[in-house]
Amino acid sequence: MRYLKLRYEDRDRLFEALRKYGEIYGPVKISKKTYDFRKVSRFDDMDLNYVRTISPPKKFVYPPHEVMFEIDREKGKVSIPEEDMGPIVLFGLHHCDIEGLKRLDSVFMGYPADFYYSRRRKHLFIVGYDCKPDEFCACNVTHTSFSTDGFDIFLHPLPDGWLVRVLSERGQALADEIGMEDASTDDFKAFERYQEERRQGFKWDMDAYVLRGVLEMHRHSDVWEELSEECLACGNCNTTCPTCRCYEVRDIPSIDGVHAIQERVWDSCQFEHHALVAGGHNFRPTVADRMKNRYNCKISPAYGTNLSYCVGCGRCTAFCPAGINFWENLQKLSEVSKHAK
Amino acid sequence: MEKRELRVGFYPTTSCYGCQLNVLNIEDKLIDIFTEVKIVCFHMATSASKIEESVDVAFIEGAVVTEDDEELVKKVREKAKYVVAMGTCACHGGVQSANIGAGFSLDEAIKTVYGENFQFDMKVMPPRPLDKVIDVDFYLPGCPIEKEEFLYFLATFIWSTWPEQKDFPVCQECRQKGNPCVVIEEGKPCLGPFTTAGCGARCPSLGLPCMGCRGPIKEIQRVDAMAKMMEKNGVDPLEALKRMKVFGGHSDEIIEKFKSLVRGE
Amino acid sequence: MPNNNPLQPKKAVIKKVFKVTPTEKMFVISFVDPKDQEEFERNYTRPARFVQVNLPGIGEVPISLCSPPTQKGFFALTIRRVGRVTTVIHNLNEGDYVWIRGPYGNGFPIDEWKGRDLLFLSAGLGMAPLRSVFLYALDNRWDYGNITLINSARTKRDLLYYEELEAIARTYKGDGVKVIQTVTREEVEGVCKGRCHLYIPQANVDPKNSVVIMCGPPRMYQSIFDEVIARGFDPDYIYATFERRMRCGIGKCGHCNVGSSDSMLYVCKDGPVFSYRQVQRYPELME
Repeated sequence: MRYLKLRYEDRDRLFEALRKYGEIYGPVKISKKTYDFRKVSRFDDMDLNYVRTISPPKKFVYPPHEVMFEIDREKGKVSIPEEDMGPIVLFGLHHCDIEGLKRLDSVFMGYPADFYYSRRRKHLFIVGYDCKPDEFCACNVTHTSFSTDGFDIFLHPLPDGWLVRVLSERGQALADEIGMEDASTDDFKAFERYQEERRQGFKWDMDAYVLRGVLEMHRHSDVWEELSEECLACGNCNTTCPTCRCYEVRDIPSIDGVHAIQERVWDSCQFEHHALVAGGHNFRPTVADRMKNRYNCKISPAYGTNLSYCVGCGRCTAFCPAGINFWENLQKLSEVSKHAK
Repeated sequence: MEKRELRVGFYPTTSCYGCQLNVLNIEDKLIDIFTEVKIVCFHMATSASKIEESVDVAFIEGAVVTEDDEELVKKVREKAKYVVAMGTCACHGGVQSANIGAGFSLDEAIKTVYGENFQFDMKVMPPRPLDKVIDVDFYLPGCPIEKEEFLYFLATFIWSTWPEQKDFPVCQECRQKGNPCVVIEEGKPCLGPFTTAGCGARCPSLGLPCMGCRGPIKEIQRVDAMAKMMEKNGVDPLEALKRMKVFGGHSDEIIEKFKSLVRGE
Repeated sequence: MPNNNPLQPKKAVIKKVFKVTPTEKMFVISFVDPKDQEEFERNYTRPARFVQVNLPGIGEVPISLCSPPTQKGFFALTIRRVGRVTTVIHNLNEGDYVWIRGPYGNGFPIDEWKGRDLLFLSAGLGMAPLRSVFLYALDNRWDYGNITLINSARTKRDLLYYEELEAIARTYKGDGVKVIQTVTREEVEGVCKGRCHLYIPQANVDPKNSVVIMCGPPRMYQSIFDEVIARGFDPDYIYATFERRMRCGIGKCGHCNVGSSDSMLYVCKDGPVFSYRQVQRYPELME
């Protein structure tokens, strides 16, 4: 890794140099309170002081609808559609979103690698961007508050520009092309001050590793009924989660009786059908069961990788129409276990 | 697999006929539809319609309101392999059912609309969704129905199977589109979390709260949670229930909650 | 066309259809391309893995293999007519095509059982995956001790492979293989009455040196675990298979996740066969 400096006035040169790595998408304010990653044409189109976007970057590599197979029943063909995506630069991803992509990678690119995800993933060039937390952020709890890999370059704000951590080989070439200077001792100090301010900003004082056990101890607790009382079972927590990846497969036949597509679409563990099997048995029949499953799935680690899926981005809380607070609930659970005899 | 001609019928009961019209509005596919399947009955499209003939799939639009309606749908049920409730009227009773279980009186409704001493030449009953009268195999909600979804339903029957119905809310499609949430953004009384998906979140995409026109999700209705969400955004619980009732008039969960609110529990 | 897409189904042809019960049919299938068949056989080494049966344009369902890895050139699936896709499959005939991917899942660790007695306990459709294990054990008869199979169902006509199992019992009579068939909902000649665990005492196996292999509805598992452990069976050698909703079969689609604080499993990839010790570690399996 190299630690370089980009001066504020050189930001457009960075942006121009990035163009050759693909179409540039960055955080843009799309309404009064909401940000999203959209295509941008200038550096200043982006609103880099955003806290979180409504849709996580997963949509670029794992779109809501992906046609897996095109079917021709007459010819007896089941074929893969042509690739529909070119190179993309994702500008301004926070630590949590980079960690989120790493978790998706661990699932979709673990053996056997998912064909569709892999062919999209190779197109991404990732520019990280440092951030200050709000009341829903909890990457400190989930041990994902500082990314050391999973990006090409990472920008940390300084009073007069950015400290740039240059990781990948493509990042090195980019840095050389712009001619970034080495960061100075003063820059490092400013970086450390920023990190200290970040640390001060975190609201939630818990540890996800401890929470794993807390959740398991509440496996049979009535507390889930209570916590899920206000849950609408709408699945907003899943669609906005950077690591939720459940998908349903649907065959869409056409009325000519010959052509069809098989596509995969985002699914949600909050929906009735998620654990329903043929014959009618539902392994998670109630909203409380499904909420419990989601909390477990996010906090407990995956078998083999020991990665927890929650990256602390706070989207499930910020974008819950019912106002259910993930962190508050986890804290409540911890307290219940404190008082339990 | 041998292709066999699929016999399809469209039958209207009491409604605006908008769903049938929307089938005819699929202009670019209309010739294909009429080529691929045998239309046995479709009064809006062909005078060669025969109600009595048997069909593989019967699409029935509208709520059951008159005695004739009831007779018709029972007759169709006997002659059809599959019955599809087409549109929210057939699936949930439609807007005409909005006041069912909430002080609805047929006599008063007739008086309000037609005045005193109006003579009908038919027998009228409180509106009912199709499944309160006959067995329904599949539900194709919408006010009116979505063209794409209709084509999907029809295609599955052509492929000698049947459709998978949506059991998830509009929110899913709204987030997938990348819309901001109108509840979080402006506290609007959006019925998206409660309403069957399939419209591609048409209203929220325009910044409008979902009216629930596709009806409540059949499998699971979070009535209390919805009322609480709207209350947080300044909508009186009774008002919230009334909103849910517009297209979910026959939902037992809503009616029960409504009655308990009126009783002041 | 060859590609590196693990979700690509391969074309296969139905060779033979047997009616097994009023609701279940057995399909004998083989891949159209011999290379696909070869690849399948290379990957199908442990019995009771499963495949995804794909009907293009209609849908896909996970189905357990009921033929053992020792049978080559084809594989067999016993399919209950229960949903949308299986209804269409039931209407298929010999010579029709289906698309297959797999085999998936772990299968039973049958090589670890050498020298042990085997006790099979099956209820209902559970006999389908157990058939592959049972036949595998018979094909490698010298590797195992005595074998008892208890097959149960509601009524006699619901018993899977009734005739086949009776025939096997006759063939292997005097060779330490015992088959007990029992029904719960009727009294009828030729079969026993009651749930399968009632007949454990009649098994010709030595509890201390046995493997218990079961498949059936999860609610029967707990009582059988309790019963066999009380009878002195070795808790390290008890295995059961578990069902969950599955879409991909390779641990991506997320539906079959089962978790505990130390790890989340996918039943499709890390299962569907789990040992009693794993069930203790992942109690959610039993829920």
